[in-house]
Amino acid sequence: MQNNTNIPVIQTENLSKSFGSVHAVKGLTLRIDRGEAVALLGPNGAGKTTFVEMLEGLQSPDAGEIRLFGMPWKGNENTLRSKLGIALQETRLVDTLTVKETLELFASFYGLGASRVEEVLDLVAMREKKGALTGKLSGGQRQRLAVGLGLLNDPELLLLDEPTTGLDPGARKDIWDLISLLLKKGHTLLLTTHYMEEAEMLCQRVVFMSKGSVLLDEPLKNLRERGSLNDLFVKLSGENLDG
Amino acid sequence: MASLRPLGQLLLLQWRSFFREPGVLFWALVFPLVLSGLLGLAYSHRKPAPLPILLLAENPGQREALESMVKALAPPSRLKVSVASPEEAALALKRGKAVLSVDHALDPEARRYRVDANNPEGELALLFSRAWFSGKPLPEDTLPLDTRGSRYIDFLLPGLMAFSIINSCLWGVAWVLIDYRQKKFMRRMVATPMSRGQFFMALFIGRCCLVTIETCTLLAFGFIAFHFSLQGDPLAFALVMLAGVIAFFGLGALISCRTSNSQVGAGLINATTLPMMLISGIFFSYERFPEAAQPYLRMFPPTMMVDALRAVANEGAGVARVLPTALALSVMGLLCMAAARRFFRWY
Repeated sequence: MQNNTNIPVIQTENLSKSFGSVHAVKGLTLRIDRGEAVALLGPNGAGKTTFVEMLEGLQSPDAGEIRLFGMPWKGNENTLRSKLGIALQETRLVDTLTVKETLELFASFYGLGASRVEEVLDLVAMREKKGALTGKLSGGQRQRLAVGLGLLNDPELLLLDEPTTGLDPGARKDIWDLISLLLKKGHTLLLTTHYMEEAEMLCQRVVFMSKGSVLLDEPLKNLRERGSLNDLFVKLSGENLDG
Repeated sequence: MASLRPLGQLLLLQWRSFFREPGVLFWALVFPLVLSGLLGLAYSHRKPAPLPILLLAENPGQREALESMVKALAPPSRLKVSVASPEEAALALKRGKAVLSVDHALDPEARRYRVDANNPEGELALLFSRAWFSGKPLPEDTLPLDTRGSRYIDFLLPGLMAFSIINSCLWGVAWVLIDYRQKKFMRRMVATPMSRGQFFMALFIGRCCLVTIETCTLLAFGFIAFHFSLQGDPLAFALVMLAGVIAFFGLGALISCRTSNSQVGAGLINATTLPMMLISGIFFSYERFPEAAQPYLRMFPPTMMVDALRAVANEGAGVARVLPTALALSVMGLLCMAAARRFFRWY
């Protein structure tokens, strides 16, 4: 019998996805092991979100294979969904629900009760805002709540898609602190971002993506010796990360 | 068996969205009451307004003679008689301020009436005018028709209840689904182990509860303000309501199964509700449409629902009489739901 700890948390082989004539992801192969924190870096349109949505089971690949915890999506939907914690890019919640009611709604989908909601309120530092309507929250608070929803099931794998895009520096730091805390607890993380400092702050490994393909996949410490991540990305892709 | 807690939370989601949104509360609960109150009062006057007619005067001398005649002959209370020049009369007829004009009113041999044959009020004014000029006014032998089930408010309230089902299901289901899809909230929910069947079940149960509240509010208002009550079996009424919710819930799910654009969604919903409002006999009888169109109008699902609700409310119908309609509406709803399920885009 195979030891569970040796099974990669994420394993993709030659993953491809097109939308009409646009090849969003081209033959992407990636392996992420338990406890790793990996940053997926690339400019807008690099295919990061499409790749993550395929990992989340929200998009079907045209070709290639995905295995999470050694399981394909087909036939294991509920098992995998209960192991994943996700924060989508730009989720808007229901404005007429309070923070606590929103957490209770999502907790019920995982079969979790009030005690877990209370724990997550503390984890995302939103106890004081638990009675506030989500429509009245600031951008940073909303994003903390979005991450909190992804933490309800104490997930083995966190997929965070640009969790700090559009936030001010203070709110961004709050999210980084929260993610750092989760990493200390041993969660596996795949984070998409186009902020270099975010990748450097939170991850040990960096994957550069451009035009649907992986340009580079290396531990962060190796890359630091080769200059700034931004310069390296420009050198490899000819593109700017903010582009 | 899946836990029912998510179902309860999804119901709470709808409940909270409904009761915490003042605009939704107004349009769902207050507006139908205001509309039924206003229309009920507008059509419940015992004495109808007099019909305006004009006697044409070519010159000041004729005007004087006509005014003297009007004073001397004392027109009946159903006519409001004025003297006007041909230009004034033409303008008044165009603007709907008069329904009939009389040329040469002073000369019985040359007297001629100008009336739009398609205007029932004009035809009525012609009848009263002829009787008045002949000196033999129509006898005052009419009695008001105010038996329960035959007033305009009795016609209107079941129509408004049907309308609230249509609105509630199309805006409350289709709009919510499009809104959730546009905000990517639906995508966020389906990324969890949430049961998609429970999601739809919660939407359906929520609609049934809200439609019940809306209908009971209208019934209570009708009873208090107009002594409206159901003449037939309340169970038959509930059966038609439930079938209506199934039918229009299915239609709501179908028209919202693909789009994530709220403007497209609003257009789709308006394009669906507007014809229903106009031709299904909600505010006025579809019997006024050409006879050739009526068999088709009767088979139009909202018309079937309105007719069945009126049959129970005003004609004392029971379950047996409305059962075929309830079955037809339910089948339509189930077919729409099956099509929606086939084409539904969760994200």
